[in-house]
Amino acid sequence: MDILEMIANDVVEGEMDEIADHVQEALDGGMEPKKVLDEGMLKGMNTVGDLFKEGEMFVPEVLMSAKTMEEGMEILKPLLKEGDVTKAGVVVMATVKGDLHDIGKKLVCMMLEGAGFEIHDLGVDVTPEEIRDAVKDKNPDIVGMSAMLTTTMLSMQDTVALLKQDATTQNVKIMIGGAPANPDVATEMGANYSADASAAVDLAVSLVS
Amino acid sequence: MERNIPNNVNFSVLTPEQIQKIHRASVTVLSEFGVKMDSARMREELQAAGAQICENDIVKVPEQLINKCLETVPKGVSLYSRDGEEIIKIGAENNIYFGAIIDVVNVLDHHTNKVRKMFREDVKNFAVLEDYLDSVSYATPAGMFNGVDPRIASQIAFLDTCRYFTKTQSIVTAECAGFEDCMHAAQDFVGGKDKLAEKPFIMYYAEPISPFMHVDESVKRIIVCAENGIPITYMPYSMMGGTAPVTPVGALIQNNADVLMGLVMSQVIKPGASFIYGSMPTVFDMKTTVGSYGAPEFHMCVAASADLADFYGVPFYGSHCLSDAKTIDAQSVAEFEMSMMSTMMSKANLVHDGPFLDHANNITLIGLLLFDEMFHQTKAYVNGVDTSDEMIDLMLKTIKDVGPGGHYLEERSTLKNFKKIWYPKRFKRLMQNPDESDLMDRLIAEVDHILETHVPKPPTPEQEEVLASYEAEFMSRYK
Repeated sequence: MDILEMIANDVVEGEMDEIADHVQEALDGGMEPKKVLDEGMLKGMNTVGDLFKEGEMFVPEVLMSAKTMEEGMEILKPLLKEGDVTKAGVVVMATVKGDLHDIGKKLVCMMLEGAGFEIHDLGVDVTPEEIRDAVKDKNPDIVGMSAMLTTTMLSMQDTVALLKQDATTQNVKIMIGGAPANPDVATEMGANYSADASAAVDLAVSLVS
Repeated sequence: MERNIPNNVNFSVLTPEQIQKIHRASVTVLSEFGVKMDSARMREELQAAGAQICENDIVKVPEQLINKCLETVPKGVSLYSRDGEEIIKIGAENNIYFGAIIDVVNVLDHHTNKVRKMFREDVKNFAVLEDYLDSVSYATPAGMFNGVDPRIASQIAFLDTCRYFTKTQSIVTAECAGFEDCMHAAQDFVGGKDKLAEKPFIMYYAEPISPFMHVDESVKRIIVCAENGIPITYMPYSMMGGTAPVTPVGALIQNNADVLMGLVMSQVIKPGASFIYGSMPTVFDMKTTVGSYGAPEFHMCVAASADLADFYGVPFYGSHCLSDAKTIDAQSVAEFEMSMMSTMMSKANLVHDGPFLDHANNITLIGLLLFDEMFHQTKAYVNGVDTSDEMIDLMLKTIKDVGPGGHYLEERSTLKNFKKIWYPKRFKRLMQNPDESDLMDRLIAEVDHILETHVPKPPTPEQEEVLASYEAEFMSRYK
């Protein structure tokens, strides 16, 4: 197995204790940091994504792989040039006003980070105004809203309406998820729907491309 | 006095030693780690009762206070029909009663076996079928129907359920304010706050947010119920590996601590307030991220939680007829059956939720008939074996009379006892079965027949006037 394959394998297997040494070994051998990133670590994460979709990897394993990649990035980050690391996009995430449930949103945030997105998680019980202000401040590509209670879907509608009223926020893409959400409800309010965390990552990638 | 459904099967998930260990661990959580308490009023009340308030609104409850509240909490509960008859009596006999459904937005259409949106007519249909079935002792209004503002849907569903369902209602609303609407209607319906407190035909429901977040909305519900004499179930729903520790014992320790916190809150507000212990520690499917309703570990943990509630002497809110499958199919029926067996054997007292499909996304009229069938079926199982001296004497006499190679068909004991065996009403035991099952067709026809012919006892004109006036007020709110 060459060093890049080993690094990719470290990410897939969640070998947090090994990856730093392997990354350093690659760099010491004269490899460009960007090559280590693209052909080692990102290749590993892509494999993780495929295995998760196929049901061969489970959520805790995916999260461990993401953490392992972060370990490797600690070595690479200072050496990468500007432009070497391209963010997949910027996402503002919130559980909407009236709702305090957030395990699903937390999982989506972790999966999106693993896929290279920069996440700003506003927490729970977040008002439409707070979401609008965060959009003005962070200029995200996407706003993601989560709810578990049917009645809090109204907050989602209010947030969409508020964002569309302002020229500086009206173009942000909107994703919704959670138990009461479904494709019809999303379409009615002018948003996009994903059923689970994996689909949320696919949706986010498609919305920024 | 004998239990309403005799349970002569010696079933427990937890031994007394295991119960003690879990209890001690939950006491450690409450007294040493603490839980989050958003409600300023509740923090004050708890502090006055001896709890320690720490930074970030963390409350630590000393064991002494837990024990004091365990002494004052009623060791049973009585619930009434809409018209004031005691139909649920939980006490020393540890009676068990089954309730139907929970409020959702979708219904599995019984003709097509496909999911569609719920409408007001469906609320009535569920109420009528539940009123008809003797196996159903209480029901939740099928609340979140389409056609009215969602902020009043549960309240309208409650009023309609009062019209078409004469037994106890377990109300579930998105906000406490919605429950208070229903409660005020119920109080006027029976003639006042004291009358409802004396003979409650409603109960309510609240959950902490796992792990250990006792949010203002949930605490408000405990306060409102304690102050109005309405029984409340406090029930954490947690997912192992997500919002609870990944092992069953971890989830039980956590949920038990959260429920004990609810119990303490209710007793601190009003010693002797009616409190029902609920717990749903389930599996977080790490492939699909679903909180499973059909997992065997879930039902095992619910039964284990019933053991804990029994240890404390308080009524337990169990769960039945739950599935992760979306329609009535082999998986959903298998999962219904597993949960029915588990709950019927357990120490549960008020058993809710079923029938519930698609991990809590739709409800089903056909499922109610399957529940009824399984209710009688599993009842027969837990009846167990009569080994009384009289029965053994009779059996020895019978065995001696019949002798080797004989038969028992004409024996008096056979004639007297053969009807104690369960005979299915809907499942078949034909000597020659048809090549294709007609069970679904028969179930559909039965639902249609009941809906056409069963007429629940209507409210009196005075009671209907109360319902109509509340309906008019609710409907006028969001125009």
